[in-house]
Amino acid sequence: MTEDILKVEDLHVNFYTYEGVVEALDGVDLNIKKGETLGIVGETGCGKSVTGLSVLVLVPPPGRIESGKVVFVEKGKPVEMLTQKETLLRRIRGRNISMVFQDPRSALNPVYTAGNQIVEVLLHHRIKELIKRAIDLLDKEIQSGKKGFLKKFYKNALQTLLQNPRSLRIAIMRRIPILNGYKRIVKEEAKKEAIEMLRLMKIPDPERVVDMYPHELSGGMAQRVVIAIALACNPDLLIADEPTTNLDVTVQLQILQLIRELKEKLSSTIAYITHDMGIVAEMCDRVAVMYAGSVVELGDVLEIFQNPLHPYTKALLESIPRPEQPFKSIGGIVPSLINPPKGCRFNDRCPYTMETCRKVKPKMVEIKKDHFVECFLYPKA
Amino acid sequence: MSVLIETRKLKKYYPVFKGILRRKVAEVKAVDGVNLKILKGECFGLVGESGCGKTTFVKTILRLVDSTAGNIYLNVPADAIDEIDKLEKSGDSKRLRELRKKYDLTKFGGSKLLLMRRKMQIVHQDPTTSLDPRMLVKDIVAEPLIVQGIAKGSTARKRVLEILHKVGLTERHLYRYPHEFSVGQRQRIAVARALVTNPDFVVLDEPTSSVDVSVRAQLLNLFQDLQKDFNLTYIFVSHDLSIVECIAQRVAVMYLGKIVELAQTEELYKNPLHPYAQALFASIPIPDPTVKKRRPMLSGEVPSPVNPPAGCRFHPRCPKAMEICSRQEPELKDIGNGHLVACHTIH
Amino acid sequence: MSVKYSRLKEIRAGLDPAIKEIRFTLKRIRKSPLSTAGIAIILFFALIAIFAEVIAPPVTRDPYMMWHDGYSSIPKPPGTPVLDPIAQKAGWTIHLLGTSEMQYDLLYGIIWGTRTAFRIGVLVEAIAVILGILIGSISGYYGGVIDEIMMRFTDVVLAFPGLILSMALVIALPRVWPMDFGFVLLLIALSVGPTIVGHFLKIQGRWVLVSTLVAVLLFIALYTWVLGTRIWTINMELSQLDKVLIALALIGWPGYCRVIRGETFRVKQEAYVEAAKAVGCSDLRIIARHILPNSIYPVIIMASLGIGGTVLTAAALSFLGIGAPAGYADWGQMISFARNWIWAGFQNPWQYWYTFTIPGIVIFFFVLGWNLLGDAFRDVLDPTLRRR
Repeated sequence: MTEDILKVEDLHVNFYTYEGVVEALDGVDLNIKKGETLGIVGETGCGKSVTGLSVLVLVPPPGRIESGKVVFVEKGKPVEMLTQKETLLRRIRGRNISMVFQDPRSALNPVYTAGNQIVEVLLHHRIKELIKRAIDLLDKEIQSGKKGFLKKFYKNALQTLLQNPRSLRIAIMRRIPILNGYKRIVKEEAKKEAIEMLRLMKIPDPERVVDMYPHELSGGMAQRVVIAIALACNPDLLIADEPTTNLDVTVQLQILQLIRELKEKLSSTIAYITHDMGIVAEMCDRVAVMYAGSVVELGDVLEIFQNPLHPYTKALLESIPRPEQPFKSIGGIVPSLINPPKGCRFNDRCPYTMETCRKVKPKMVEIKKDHFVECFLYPKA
Repeated sequence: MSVLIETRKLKKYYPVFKGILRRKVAEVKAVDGVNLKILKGECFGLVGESGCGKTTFVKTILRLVDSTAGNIYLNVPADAIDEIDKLEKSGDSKRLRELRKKYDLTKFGGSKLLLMRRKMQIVHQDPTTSLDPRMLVKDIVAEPLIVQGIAKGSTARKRVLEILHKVGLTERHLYRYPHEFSVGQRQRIAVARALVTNPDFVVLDEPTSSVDVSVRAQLLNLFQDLQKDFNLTYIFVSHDLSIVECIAQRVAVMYLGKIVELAQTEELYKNPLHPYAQALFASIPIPDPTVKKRRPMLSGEVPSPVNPPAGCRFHPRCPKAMEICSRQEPELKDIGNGHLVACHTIH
Repeated sequence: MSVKYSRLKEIRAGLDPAIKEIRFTLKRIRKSPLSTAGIAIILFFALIAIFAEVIAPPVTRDPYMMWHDGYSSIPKPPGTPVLDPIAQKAGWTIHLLGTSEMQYDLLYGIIWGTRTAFRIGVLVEAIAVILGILIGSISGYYGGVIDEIMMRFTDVVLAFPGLILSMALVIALPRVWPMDFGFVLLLIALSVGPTIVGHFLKIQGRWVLVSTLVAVLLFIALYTWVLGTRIWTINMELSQLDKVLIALALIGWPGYCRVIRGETFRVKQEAYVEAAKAVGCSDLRIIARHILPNSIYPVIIMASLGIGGTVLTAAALSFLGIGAPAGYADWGQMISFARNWIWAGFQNPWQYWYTFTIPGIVIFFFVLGWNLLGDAFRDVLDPTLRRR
């Protein structure tokens, strides 16, 4: 049995807004197995984006993570994300867990070139590797006989930097114009790596694209750049928050294919957040269905589609438009999360509501192997 | 069924100015020669990706945007159309001009245009921005009546209530601001505003893309019911192909300002002939995990409509491009059963 | 259900959402202590202005000309008894705040000066706002040539430093101004004409502009070359205060013009304006009914801050001697009387502190009140912070 790479237990997140306290997440339980693609699906406002941000402990104020556990397994060791210090979290973000956002144009900084933004991530997380490469490059150049006074100097500096990052020599040299040329060499190495990343993203002519600004890129290209930034350090877990919603449908297909291929090549795990059941069916191995702040059903994708247990999942699947059939909708509207209904939050729209549903919130139970539901219709297994 | 709207060689070009002297250096050919016939009482679907010109096209029909060239004939009696056809071939320009001045929507102005606006309405994509946030619902829905001079005061009020009931709202909603409603209800208010003057046809510009999945079905049911009750004609513009499949009778696919394929919905979705349409329909995600995963058929993205490729606009990305495709633009030809395609590989 | 259309019920029901909105606004204002302070200050001044006749009974025939207790030029400190028998009959016993040069009672001046301050502030801002809205909304809505012409005209006014220009205007405006009504009509026609004409002829956009421009040009030609003489001339008598009002209004409107123009550009793009066009609204209706109500918020905030600013500028003009006439109940006037008494020699230099400190403090609080009110409006009316 594959082990979990991420486990979220009973996560509660509140947003303290002017109008009141929005109980965005009300006990989210889910787990992601290593190497799989988990789809997190739900309508607008169900809390799927907040869940993604909570994993990285990046919930913006006025939001606050109230309680719960988020356990991320880094190289075999479990790390409890919510209690970690910021320095450790910063090391994990971008390197072990990274995120792709919905709108590529706003995820990219408009005043830096695309290449610059990838280089920034590389320099932050893979600096040692890049320095080593720079040293090797300088070595080769010195040995090939080119005039090498400055190069020897730089190589020396880089080796010192590698062994003793806080050495006094480096601290002095850092600021002096010609002496700090070693920085340039490392940056060039980083840029080469960035070009390779862009090539991996199937961007044609990456040498040209690497110097382009985000506003010069089309939507699909910009999203590829964002994915390149996210995958630059080969993270173990990639959280993709509706990456194709704003793109045209043919470009969407290209991006989905790209994500599939990259997942194979880099053997990463993906948490794919979306509201489109079609994408879920295509991309995901397991699915978590969310409604109004909690996961109502969690299971294998075939199970969920062919044998949905929770009334909401059933209604969601039925509301997918099919030709020659009348449109089926779910009666009522999504409840406001400022004063959420007591008990199960689906109780005012559920066709099978019982008395208990209005009083107590159901717990997640495993009905079949690896198929969890939060509903009183199903007695505890 | 009779033809309600006919557009002939409809074009909309936007000039691009560059330089200090602001001279026109290029044109964005948003709509480049569209000939379309929309039948009375049908729901006509218009699909395409971003930049294909479908929104510009419908706004040109509604005269929200002035066309650069071409004619639009709305509800013109059949014998007049026949005469125009004959005159276009023979070339009696004076009589042609007379007829055009009388019937061509692009030439209308002043009170004539105002009267025509009663017959054609639009429901916008995002109801949050398409309703004036400082107006009460009763004023929003009554505005068309007042502006058109159809009714005032109590007669207007009666009509407003009638329409609100039809879209599923009540009197209690009259004295409220739009922001007090949910998105689905706001869209209903927008629909009520569109229907209050009893139009002949309504343009639905992606009306369900800003609402949740659960509300979407409610709105689509509403559209279908209203179409039956009021005998409306719809132009349903969308980039969501699965919804269009369920609600439209005929569908046209646009690419870079031209229609590349047009057919009955079932026929088109089952058997698309144009390579772009094939790629488009093949890229709809299918909500069934047992279906084999698809591979993208197209590379690259939609080019900018500023300098469309010579010949067939799709030929640089087309997997079946032939030599002739880069030289000559294909014409939209009827291959039988009302199925029109513009592609050299078909004929 | 039958529809009974009762006008009264209409009005009452129509007020309900408006009342709800006002209540919501008031609640938000109450939450901020600074805003409440601002409102309290303004209310305080308003009460003083309303009850001026009761609190400070007038002594002379024109209550706005301050009465003076004798002719001595040395200010008397607070507490000095009143000597003038007419004043005593009116109810004055002591000079509560002292007197200024020429024995003007400071308390009287402050209280009646409140009325003047409100008059100047509110009137000037009102005129400036109206002018600004007229020009700004037309300019923003039509864009193109009309916008360019109007903006260059605005730029000319903006290029001058406000205070200097207002001084020049006050001095230049004659006592009797033969205002050329025809010219004023021309200005109005140029700015508002296109929209009104278009509304009635039911045409929109470019044709309106072209046709009206042609008509206006014809009018100018007729007026200047054919007729040559002035018709419709009205002789307006301008008191000094009227001149100040006109001058300040003329330098105040470009600010509002720019703001409304910017907001009009933004609102013009919104979907509901397009929806209104689809329904057949004329340009006039769109501007009046859709664009203005949605672009007015920054103007309200600016106007509130502007009232304070105008009072300050008027006080400056008065201090320089070209504002209110001598002896007028105006705070700036009172400070100008204290000009010679700010420093009274090396021994006991602040002897006559009350002559300038007291009016100064009053001006300070008045302007502060309006500033706080303006901030309160901004916090409350900011569309992103409200729930809409």
